[in-house]
Amino acid sequence: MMNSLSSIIKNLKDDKNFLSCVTRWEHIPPRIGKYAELPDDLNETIRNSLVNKGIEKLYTHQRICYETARDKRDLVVVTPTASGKTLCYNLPVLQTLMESEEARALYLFPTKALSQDQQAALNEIVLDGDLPVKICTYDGDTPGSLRISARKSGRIIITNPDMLHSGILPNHPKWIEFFKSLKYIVLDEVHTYRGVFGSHMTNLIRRIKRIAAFYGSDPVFICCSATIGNPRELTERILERETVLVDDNGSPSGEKHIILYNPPLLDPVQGIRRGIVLEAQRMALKLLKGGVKTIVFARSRIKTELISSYLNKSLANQYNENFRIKVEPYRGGYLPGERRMIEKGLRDGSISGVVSTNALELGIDIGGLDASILAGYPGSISSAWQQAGRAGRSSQLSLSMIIASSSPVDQYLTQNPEYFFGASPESGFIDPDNLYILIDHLKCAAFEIPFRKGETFGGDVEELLDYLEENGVLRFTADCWHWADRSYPSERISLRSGAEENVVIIDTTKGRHEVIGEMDSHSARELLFEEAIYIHKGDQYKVLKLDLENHLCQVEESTVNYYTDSILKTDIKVLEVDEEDSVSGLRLVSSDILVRSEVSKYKKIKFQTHENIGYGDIYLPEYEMHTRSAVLLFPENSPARIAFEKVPEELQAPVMSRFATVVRNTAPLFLLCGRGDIGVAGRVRDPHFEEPGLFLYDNYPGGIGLADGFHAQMEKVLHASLSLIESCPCREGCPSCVGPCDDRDGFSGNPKEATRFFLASWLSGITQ
Amino acid sequence: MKRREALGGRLARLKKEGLNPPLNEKETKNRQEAFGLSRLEGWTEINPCLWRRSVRYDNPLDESYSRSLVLPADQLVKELIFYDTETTGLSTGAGTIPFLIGIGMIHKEYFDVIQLFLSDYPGEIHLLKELNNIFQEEAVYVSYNGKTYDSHLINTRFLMNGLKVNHRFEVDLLYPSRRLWKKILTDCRLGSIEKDILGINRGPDIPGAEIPDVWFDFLKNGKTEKLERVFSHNLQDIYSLAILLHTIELITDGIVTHIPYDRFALGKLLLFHKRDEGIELLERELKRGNRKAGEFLSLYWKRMGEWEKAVDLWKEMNKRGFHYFSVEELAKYYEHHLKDYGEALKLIDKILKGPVPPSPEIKDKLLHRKKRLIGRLAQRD
Repeated sequence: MMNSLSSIIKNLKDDKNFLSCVTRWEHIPPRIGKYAELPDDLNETIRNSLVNKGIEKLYTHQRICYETARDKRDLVVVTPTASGKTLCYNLPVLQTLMESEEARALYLFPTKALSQDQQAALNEIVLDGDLPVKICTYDGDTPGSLRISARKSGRIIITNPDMLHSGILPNHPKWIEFFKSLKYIVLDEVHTYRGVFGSHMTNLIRRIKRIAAFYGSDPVFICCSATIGNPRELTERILERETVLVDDNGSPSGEKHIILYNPPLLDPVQGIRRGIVLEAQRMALKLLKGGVKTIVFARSRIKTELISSYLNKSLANQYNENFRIKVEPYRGGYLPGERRMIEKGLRDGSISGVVSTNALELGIDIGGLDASILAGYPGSISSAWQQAGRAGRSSQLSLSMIIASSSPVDQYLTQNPEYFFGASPESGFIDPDNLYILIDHLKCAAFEIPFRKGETFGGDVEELLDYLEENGVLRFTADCWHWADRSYPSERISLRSGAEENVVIIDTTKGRHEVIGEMDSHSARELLFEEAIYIHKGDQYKVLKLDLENHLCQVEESTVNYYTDSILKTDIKVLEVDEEDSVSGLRLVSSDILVRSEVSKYKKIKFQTHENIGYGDIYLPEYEMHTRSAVLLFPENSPARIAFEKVPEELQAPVMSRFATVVRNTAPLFLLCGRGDIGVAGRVRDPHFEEPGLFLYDNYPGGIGLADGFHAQMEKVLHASLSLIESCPCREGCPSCVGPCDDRDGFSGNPKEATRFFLASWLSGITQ
Repeated sequence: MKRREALGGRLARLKKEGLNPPLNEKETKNRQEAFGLSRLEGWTEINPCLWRRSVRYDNPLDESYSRSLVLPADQLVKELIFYDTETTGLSTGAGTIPFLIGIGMIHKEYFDVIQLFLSDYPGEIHLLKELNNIFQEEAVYVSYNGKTYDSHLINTRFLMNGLKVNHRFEVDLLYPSRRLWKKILTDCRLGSIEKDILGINRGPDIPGAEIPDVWFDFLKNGKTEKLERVFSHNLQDIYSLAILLHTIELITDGIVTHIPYDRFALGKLLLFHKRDEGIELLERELKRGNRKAGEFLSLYWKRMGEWEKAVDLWKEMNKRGFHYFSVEELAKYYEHHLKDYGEALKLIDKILKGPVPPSPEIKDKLLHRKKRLIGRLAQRD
C-alpha cells in the first residue's frame, strides 16, 4: 500500500498542472524516537499492564512529565498528534492512586465526546492490569443512579468544564471525600481555552482551587496543549501558577509530505478560485483508489455529507463488491454509538476513508491514516497541524494536503508558506479579569463558600464584592460576604459565551427547522439583518427575520446574484487611557472604550463585478458595548504619519478603511481568534486623540484579552498585512485582502495600491 | 495583574455609562439597622442571630402504633422528632441555607413545636449546634420529602461548618403518602394532602415559592411584616406532619373508612409487610372489577407456592372475558408445574387467536413457547 502512496506522490510530482497550483511542497524526513526507561518506582501492576500492551519504554517527554508531576510541579506538555499524550498524565496519576487508596484525580476535557473516549482508553489500562482504580465519567449524560457512586468512590472523575461549573462545584459538600484527597487535575486541550472560554476557565480554576483549599488539598495540574505560540504563558494565565513547559517531543514520526495547494483562479477581479469541495473530492478519490487510507477534513457538517456521498458514489461506479472501499462521514450530531463504530472501523481498517468536521481533530483515537486532506484552512494553524497530523503512523510515509479557499486567511497562508512552516506564531489570549466574567464567577464562588474579608480571587476583589452587596446579591456580615439570593447562579452563566447570549441561526427552507449556526448578537446586527444575504460555509441564505430579543434568526436558502454589506456607523468614546507605548513607528495606547454602533443601511453588491445595485434600510436599535481597545495612533513626524501624509488627500479615508479591513483579516492569524472576535475602526482624525489612528477592540463586552495581547503581535500583523496585499492577485481590492472596491467612494486612483504604498513606506520608514 | 488594580475604577466608569455588569433584577433599598425582631411575640434570642420560640398543641397522636407500616417496630411516638425547614433557595447546593427549622416533639399530652430562626448568617453555627443538642442519635425523624431534600441540606450545612453529622434514621411520609394518594390527587404536596385528605384549612397561607424572598427582604431591608406568615406556615407544616402520620396509621390499620385512598396500593403495602388484611383488601378490589389487584394477588399466591389459590384466581378472572395475563400464567402453570404440554399449547393458541392480537414482540415470545411445547410433546410421543 505504501508503494502506491509513493507512486501517487511521484505522479503528482510529474503533473505540471497540479504543480502550477502548489505553493509549497514540504518534505519532512522521518524523525527517530527518543526513549527513556520506565520509572524505577513504577508500581508492578502498572508496569505489567504497560508491558502487556507492548510498552516497554517511554518517550523522553513522557518520562519528564512523570518526574515533574510526581515532584508536585504543575506542567504543560505540548503534544503533536500521535505523541503518546495520554501516558503523560495517566502514568503519574495512576502511580499516585496506586500508592494511596485515598488519592483522587479530576480529568477535564473541553467536550463530552472526548471524555467518553478517554474513559475507554483509561479502562483499557486499568482493566487489563487489574488496577483497583474506579474511573467514572460524570457529565450531563450520567444517570442519577451512577452519580452517587461516582461521588463516593470514583477515583478518577472525567468531566467537562460546564459540568464542573454548574454541577460539581456548587454541590461540593456532596463531593467532600473527593475534594479532600484531590491530588491531580488534568486539563487536556488547553489551547482550546482561549478567548471567552479561556477567560471563564481561569475563573473556574480559581473556584476549584478555593474549594480544594477549603478541604485542605492542593492538587497538581497536568496540562496538555497542541502546538501554539505561547503554551506556557496561556497555561500560566489559566492556572495563575508557575508552570513547567515540556515541549521536547521524543516520539518518532515517519517521512511526511505536506502540500499547500491553491486552486486555479476563476475570477481574478473578485479573487474567486475553484471550489475546495471539488478539489478535495478529486484528490481523495485518487488516493482511495490507490488503496491509501485517507481522511478529509471539511469545514461544515453539510460539506462532510456531500463529500462522502460523492466519494461513495464515484467508488461504486468504479468497483464491484470484490474491491470494497468504505468511506464514512463523521461529525457532531451523530449518536455516540455510531461514532464509536466509525472510530473502530478506522482503527481496524474496515473503513478506508472518512470525511470529518473538526470533530476528529482532537484526541479521539482512530489509529493512523496515510493521507489527510484539509478542504480549507481550519481557522488556526494549530488546528491545521492537528488535522495534518492525523495522517502518518510512527514509521510510515504519509501525505497531507491543505487546499486553500478564497478567504483572506487561506490566501495569506498558501501564499506565505514560511508563516505556516515557521515557528508557530499564533498565541492564545484570555482576560480572566473581564469584569462581566469575573463578577459572574464571584457570584458562583460566593454561593460555594462565603468570602472572607481579605480573601483574594486571582487578586483583590473587595470592591467587586462590595458592588455585589450593594446590589443585594451578597450580604456582608461578621467579616464575610454570604450568598444572599434565592437563585443558583451557575445555572444562568454559560462558559462558552460572553455576557450576552448568541443568536441561533435557523434554516427554515421548505418547512425545515434546522439550526445551522450561532453568532454573537453584536455581529448578528452587522450580518444577519432582515433581507441580508448570509453566506454560511459556502451556502447562500437570505435572512427572513432577526429576533434579537429571543436570540433567533430565521433564514432560507437563496440563489441571488448579489451579496449584502451593512454600513456600520461606529462611534467610539474613549473612557480611560491606561497604557502608552511607542512601537513600530507609532503611538500605541490601551484603553477602555465605549462602542456605540448602529447599522441603518445596507448595500447590495453584485458578485463578480462588484457593482453596487441598490440599498436597503435596516431597522435595529443602537447597540452599546464597553470593551478594551488597542489604539494605533499616528503622531506627527512618526513614520506612520509621514507615510499616511504621502497618500493623496482624497485617498486618505479610503486607505484608512482598507487598512482597517486588512488588519482585521490578518490579526486572527496571530491572536488565535476568529475574524468576528475583534472589531476594527479607522479614523482619519480621531476626535479624542486628535490624530489619525486605528482602533482594534475586543468584540465582547468587557474584553477577552485580544486587544491587550495585540501589542506584542502588532509588528507581525503589519508585515502580514503588507504581504497579503502584495501577494493577492486582484486588481483594486477584493474580500481576500483590503476589501472590494466600492463605486460609491467616487475617487480616482487604485485604493489597493495606495494602501500597499502606505504600509510599505511606513514599514520601510521604521527600518531606516 | 496590573489591570486588577484598575478594576474598581472601571466598575465606576461602567456604572456612570449605565452599563452595570448584569445582575439579578431586584429593588435595592437602604438596609435598616434595627430588625425589630424583639417585637415579634414569643421569640427569644438564645445566641447571637439565633432566635427560638416554642408553641404548644394538644397531642394528636396515640402513644404507639403497634401495627405501623411506616415506623420502626415498637417505636414509641414520644421518641419521634418531626421537622421541617424553610430555606433560602430550592437547590441543595452549597449556597442554600435553612433559615428556619421547626421541630415537633411529644411531651405527655402535648405536642410541642420548637422553632429556630436565623436573623443573620453568623447565627448558623449556633443553629447547627442547637440542632445537635436536640437531634439525638437514637431518635427517629419524621419529615415530608426530608430524605431527598431537608436532610441533605442540613448535612451540607454541617459539613460546610466543619461539624460532624450524626447519622439519623428518617421516616419520610412522602413515600407512604404517594402510595395512598398518588392516583387520587393531582399532586402529593403536603398542602394538597392537608386540603383534600386531612380536611385541614390553612386559611391564607404564604406560597412556598415566596418564602426565600421574605427572609432576604427581612435581612436586607429589615422588613418583618411577612415573617410571621412564614413562621406559621412552618408551624402548620409540623403540626400537619403529626396529623398525617396519625391518619396514615389509622388507614393502614383499617380503622378509617371515610377517607379516600388507593385501596389497591394499600393492599400491596400490607402484603409486602405480610399482613393478611392485604389479601381481603385485594380480593374486595378484584370483586369491584380491579383486575390489577387480582393479578397482584395471584402472583403473591404463586410466590408463596399456593398454586390452587393462584389458579382459582386466574380462572375466575378469565371468566369475565379473555384476560391475557391469566391465560399466560395458566399456560406457564400447565407447562412447568403440571407438565401438561397439551393443555398449555391450547392456551397459547387461545392467546394467539384471541380477541386482542398480541404485539409483534409478545407474538414472537408466544411462538417461541409454542415451538418448545410442540417439541416437548413430540419428545413425549
